[in-house]
Amino acid sequence: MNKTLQVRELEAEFHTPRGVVRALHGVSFEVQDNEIVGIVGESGSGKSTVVRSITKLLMPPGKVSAGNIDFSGRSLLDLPEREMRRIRGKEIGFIAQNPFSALNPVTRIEKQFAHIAKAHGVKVDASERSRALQLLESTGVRDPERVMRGYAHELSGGMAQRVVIAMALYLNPQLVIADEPTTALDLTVQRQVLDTLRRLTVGSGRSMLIVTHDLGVVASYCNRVLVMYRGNIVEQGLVDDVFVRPQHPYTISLLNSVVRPEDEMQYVPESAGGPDSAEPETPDPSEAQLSEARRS
Amino acid sequence: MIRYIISRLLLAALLLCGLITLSFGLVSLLPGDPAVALLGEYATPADVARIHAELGLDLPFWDRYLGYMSRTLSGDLGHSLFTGSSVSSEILTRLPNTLVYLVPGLVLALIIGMASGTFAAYRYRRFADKAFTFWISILMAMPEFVLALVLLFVFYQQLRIAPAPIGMLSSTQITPPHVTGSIPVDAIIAGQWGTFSSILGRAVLPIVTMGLFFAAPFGKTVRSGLLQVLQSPQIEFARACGLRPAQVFRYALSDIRGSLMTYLVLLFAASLSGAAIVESVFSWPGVGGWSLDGVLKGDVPVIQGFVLIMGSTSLLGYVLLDALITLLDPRTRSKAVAGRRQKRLAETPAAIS
Repeated sequence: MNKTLQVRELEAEFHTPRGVVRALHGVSFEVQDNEIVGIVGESGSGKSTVVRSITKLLMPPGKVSAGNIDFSGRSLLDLPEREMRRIRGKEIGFIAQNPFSALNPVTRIEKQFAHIAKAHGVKVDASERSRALQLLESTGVRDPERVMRGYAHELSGGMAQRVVIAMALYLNPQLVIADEPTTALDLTVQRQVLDTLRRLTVGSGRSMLIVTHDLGVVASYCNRVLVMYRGNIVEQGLVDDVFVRPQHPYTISLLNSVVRPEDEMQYVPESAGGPDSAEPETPDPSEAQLSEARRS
Repeated sequence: MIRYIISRLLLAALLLCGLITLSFGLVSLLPGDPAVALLGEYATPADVARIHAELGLDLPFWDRYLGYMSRTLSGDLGHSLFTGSSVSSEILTRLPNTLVYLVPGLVLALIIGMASGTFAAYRYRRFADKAFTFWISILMAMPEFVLALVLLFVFYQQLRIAPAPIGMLSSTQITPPHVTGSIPVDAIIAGQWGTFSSILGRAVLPIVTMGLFFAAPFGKTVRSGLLQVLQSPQIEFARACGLRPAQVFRYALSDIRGSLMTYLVLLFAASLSGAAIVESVFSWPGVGGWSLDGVLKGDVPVIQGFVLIMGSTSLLGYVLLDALITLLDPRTRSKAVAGRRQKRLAETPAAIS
């Protein structure tokens, strides 16, 4: 199997007036062809910093300080901005968290597609437009012709995120990076959008790196998972392995924090007492174990 | 859309009536009696009463108010208490003189502010940005007359490349034949291009003064606006799609154009009052110096005329701005154009357009 993306010993830091904050401590992982890799972790664990380092969109005061990012034979960190721009959108697609803040509010959707095409030297003509229309349709947009002629604010959240997905996939990137693509959406729409994403990426030979803090998303959509904690990848591996036999105490406590409706049903005693008296049976990871992990 | 524009115009008319009322109220708000200002402190009560009768100050309040309102609306702004000249014709001849340097000055401010603010935002926290912030602070701390005097000192006294600050025309130049009364307009009508270009040459320093003076706050607004929008998810997504830097800049600009346009209109309104000081420094025969003179003497009709001109120009600016911003943004445009009908449609979930 070929590696689409290989990240080695990536380090990033933020230069703040109160000193340098190290956000990534030597992160290494890879994404292979045709697979979906999930990055999970709590807020501030460095998930977003990783994906922004890959696209080189880490904003000052953030800075990649060391490491190596290899994307289909090129070392991204050594590329000048001019060449990096050609890779963004064309070879690496990016799906933003909130579609309404990502789409241009004053430009028609079809114009925004045309801008992307123009930026990568693709001639904007009728066939290009119909390709965008087809793509919109395949992401599940109802009445794509009308959406193309309209503006972002006229769409529902789910539809707008489908438009963002269509824009990210427009020029056929090999790798799609999605930064919490469903957190801004209603629960009912989340699954539809994720199904669409899976169908359009691995279904057509692409790979995807998906950042999320929803373990359910990882369990049902990803092949492999990276667990991040305080700028480190504390555990990585196949989803089945990591979720069934977690090794690292942080992963264990992360998995235990998931509310399982079926578990809770068992704990409510049928006769005496209310839900308050129910004791959770799931074992807490020992504090000693956890603090040991923090020190390492 | 037409209904929207009409509603804006009606609002403007209403505000204009309010403005006239304010300007009328100035007479009673101003300390001192115009008759005393005119005759001096040792005037006899009989003389004061005569002037009151002449100015109509002895009439009942409503007669004065309605009379002032109808005269103002028909374009008669009264006569100066001291020179006796008609305020409206005085404004008509002087306003073009002011606009000759004011409009290019604002355009210059727009260009300098836009360019330097953009440059600083893209070079955030680097040397160029720090240099920009330093000069902006100095310019913003400097009143316009100091700036004008510094420019005069450098370009007139030291380098001798600017003409003396003695007005629009030098004494050797022939005044163009009287058509409209405004010298620059008359010079164009008469085809005296030499005179006209000499006026422009003399306007260079006032233009640069205005340009630098207003470039500072405008550039600062451009910089902070761009800094904010360049960090936004919208720009991040645009860059993640691989858009060219020029395209990204256009996206960023379309996001802040509303606030920039608003600020520009605010500057225009401020520049009209700033004109008074600059015109005094350059002995420029515009509305600013003339009204400053009127204010110092207590020449009520002149003050009222200036207030009306400044107020209605700003009013016009705001109404145009409001309509422009609403119609440029598709989010507000659809509401403004379709009115209530749109609201009902939007409530049904399938409505897209």
